[in-house]
Amino acid sequence: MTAAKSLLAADAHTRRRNAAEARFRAYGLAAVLVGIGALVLLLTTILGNGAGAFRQTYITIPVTLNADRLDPAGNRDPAEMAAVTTFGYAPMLAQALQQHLQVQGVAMDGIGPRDLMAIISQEAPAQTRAMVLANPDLLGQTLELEMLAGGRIDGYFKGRVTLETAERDANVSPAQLVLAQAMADAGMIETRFNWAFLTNPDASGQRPEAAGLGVAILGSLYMMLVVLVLALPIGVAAAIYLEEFAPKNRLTDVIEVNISNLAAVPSIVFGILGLAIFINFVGLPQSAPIVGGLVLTLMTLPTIIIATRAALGAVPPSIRSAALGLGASKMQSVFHHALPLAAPGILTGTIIGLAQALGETAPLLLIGMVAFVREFPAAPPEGLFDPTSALPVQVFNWTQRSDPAFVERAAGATIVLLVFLISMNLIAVLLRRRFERRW
Amino acid sequence: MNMMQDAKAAAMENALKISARGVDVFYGDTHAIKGVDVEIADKMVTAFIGPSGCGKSTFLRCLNRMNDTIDICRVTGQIQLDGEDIYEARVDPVQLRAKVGMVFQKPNPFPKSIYDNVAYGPRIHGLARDKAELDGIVEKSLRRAALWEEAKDRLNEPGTGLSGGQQQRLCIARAIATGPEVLLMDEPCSALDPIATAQVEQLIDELSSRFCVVIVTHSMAQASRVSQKTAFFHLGELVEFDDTDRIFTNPSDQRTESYITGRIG
Amino acid sequence: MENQSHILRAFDRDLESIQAKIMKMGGLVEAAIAQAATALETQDADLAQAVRAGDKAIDALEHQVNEDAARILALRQPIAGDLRTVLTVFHLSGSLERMGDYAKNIAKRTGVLMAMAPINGSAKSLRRMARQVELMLKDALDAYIQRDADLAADVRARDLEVDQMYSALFREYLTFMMEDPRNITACMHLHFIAKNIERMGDHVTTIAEEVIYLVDGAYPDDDREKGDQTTQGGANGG
Repeated sequence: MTAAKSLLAADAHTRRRNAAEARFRAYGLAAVLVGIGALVLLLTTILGNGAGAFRQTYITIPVTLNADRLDPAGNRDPAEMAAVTTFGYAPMLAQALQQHLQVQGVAMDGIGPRDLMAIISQEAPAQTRAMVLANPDLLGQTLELEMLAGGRIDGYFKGRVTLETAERDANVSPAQLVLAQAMADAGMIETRFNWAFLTNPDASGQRPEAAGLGVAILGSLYMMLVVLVLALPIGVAAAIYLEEFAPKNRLTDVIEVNISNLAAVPSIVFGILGLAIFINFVGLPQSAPIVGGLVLTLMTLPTIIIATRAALGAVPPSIRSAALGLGASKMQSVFHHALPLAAPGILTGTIIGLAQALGETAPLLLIGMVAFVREFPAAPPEGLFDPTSALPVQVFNWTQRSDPAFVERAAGATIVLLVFLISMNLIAVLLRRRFERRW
Repeated sequence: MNMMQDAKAAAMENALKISARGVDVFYGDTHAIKGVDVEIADKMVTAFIGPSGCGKSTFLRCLNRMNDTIDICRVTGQIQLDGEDIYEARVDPVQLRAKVGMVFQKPNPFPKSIYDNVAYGPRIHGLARDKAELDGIVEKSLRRAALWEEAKDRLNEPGTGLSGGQQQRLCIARAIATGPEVLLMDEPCSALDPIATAQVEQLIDELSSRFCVVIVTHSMAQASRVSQKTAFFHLGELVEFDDTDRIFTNPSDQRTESYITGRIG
Repeated sequence: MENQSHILRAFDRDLESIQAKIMKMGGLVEAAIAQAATALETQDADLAQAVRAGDKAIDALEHQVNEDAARILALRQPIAGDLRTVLTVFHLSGSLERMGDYAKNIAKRTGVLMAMAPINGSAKSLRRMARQVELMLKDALDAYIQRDADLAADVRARDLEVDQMYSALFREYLTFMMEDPRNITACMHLHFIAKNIERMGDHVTTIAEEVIYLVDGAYPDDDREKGDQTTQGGANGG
């Protein structure tokens, strides 16, 4: 007869099991740490590279808007003043800078007039011209104008460009950097937060300092609008039909399997589809948000259908039975009871689907949204047919350009994209928490 | 003894409400209900008893055509409500279910306010012309369900916030709000504690003077407490159908005796 | 009816237990009747004393049986056949206990009678009557344990003979008392003994009717046949 075992003495079997479980927990923790580590690495890299895009260097000097040069006809007519191109404005700005430097007593050793102009961004004359044409009454006045600094000057103040690299750089000389520093000390140059990054349209390869996400953000917004307006009703209606009304036979089984498969199709295939059907067959304009929106709708439909079906399936059958028992028709029980209860789940699924669609790049490349677009699209619905860009595509675009300042811009755009994605997912989580019901 | 005999005599005089003839129910290939004939009288409580899987709930669901919602279920035979065959093609199950209400095993109030729960049926059937009339229907139903005193100050609170027994009474109020003539109850007390059960049984007693009540129960004690007539189902057949006091003191069929004394089940 | 056991076997054990106690009680009462009749016939004082002492056991059993039956009602909530089983046990224990009391009374009177002059032939008739009742009881208990309604009906019919025997003895004792007033005391006791035996027969009939109720679910409709003519006609009973 074996002696009774005391509860206070741990037996070998239990100890082995506890050890195995502790090891497993350690493995799990390690896996989590690896994941978190990768995430932290990713975020710090992006933030480190892209933070600079949100600050911009500006030169502030008094500029006299010479009426004779800018308005030869003298009648303040913008149509006629438009004849004066940026080539007329640029020397004026260079002169103003020179004068101001002299007044401030900043030394200009080894700097010629052309070098001086290079300190100011090439975009500045265009911006000044646009300002004058918009408001001809400014002519003749002396204003404190804030102008973008040149790309390399901007880089210098952000630490990307140094005196050593300037030696080898064709676009900037050390002397210019020295002058820029002196200007900064005199208070004419400052680096501050760059709202224009979010509002400006894209800029050409030589002017990274003027490049902005304005068009891309609008383009993405228009596409999300198209997706929302199309995918949500179609997806929800399809899901309701499949879940509630379709007879359970082989055909519906086949449809179900194929919807799940659609969710797994590589996104570039949708791009090919969009190119072939919407652009070639239907003849919609290339690079337009309507095409991008339609392609992304096709991609988001399976997500919304699956999420809606899951949400409808989670409604307890007892509620439906109760409704039917009271004499509600099938349709009434779905619309009065199942759908309101499934709404949080549908909403969450839609927002997550939209967030995924926001970040899709491959299909948009194929339908031509990779073009360089400077003009803002009009308001919808006409604006849906104007060419635009999209956020993830813009990132791709900028990484292709040679100027290193665009790398910073690309990282900055990535940050903007991440912010949108995270906030959309957060909204989804909050909405789910807020509307979650307990049966 | 005289009281019981008087009640018995009265029960036998009640009008016929539901009449079933040769009812068979198939779930796919499974023969679930086999040739059931039964006559259910109005203004009293009829209980269906029997072991699990004997078909009593299935038969109950035939009476309001809830089995229609199950694809593989097939019902043959004739079931008449007030002389009209409810399985005839012209009959809309939706209309039938306004006349024949149902209360389920687990209390299932809608996740809406108490008022909206009770008002749902009248709303979808268009029974009230205006808000005042609807208010009246809601109050009358809650009173009849013995819930008005407890609920009148909380009409806008969610129905799911009530206790189990109150929720079931809410479901009963909801069912009687459409003004049905028959009330079907599928094990209404099995999810409730003894006090709540007693309250619902008292309610059934009160309702039986107004409605034809058919209750499925797996508790023979409950059947003996609330019903005037009892039907014993076994393996899909209706074995015996008689006055409740007769079934529980001296049943005719050996199978009935074996079941109610706890020898089979 | 008990062709199947309850799913809850403790219920079966409880029912078997009280029925076994009833049979035990029945056995004790049968023995008491036989012994009391023998004691009367053989004038055995010790036997009579044993019968009187033995009644305690019967009373104790009746209390036990009633308590057990009440317990079964409360804890098992029997219905239909099971309920009739328990209800008949109450009745049976009551009837058997009364019969035991009658047997004790017979034994007591036997003790008194032994001090007096014997009346010829009286003991023999009483012995015959007691034997009849004893056999009826045995058959009634058999009918009970075997659930035999026909045997119970037969027992019920045999009570007629017991009643007739009592009527005959009643007339005989009247005659003796009228012949010789010195016999009155003895004859009174003998008469009470005969009455006790006749009452015992009625109780056995009640037991038989309970058995019929147990088996058929209803008491027999027809009235018992009454062979007791002592309450009919004039006071002389002739």
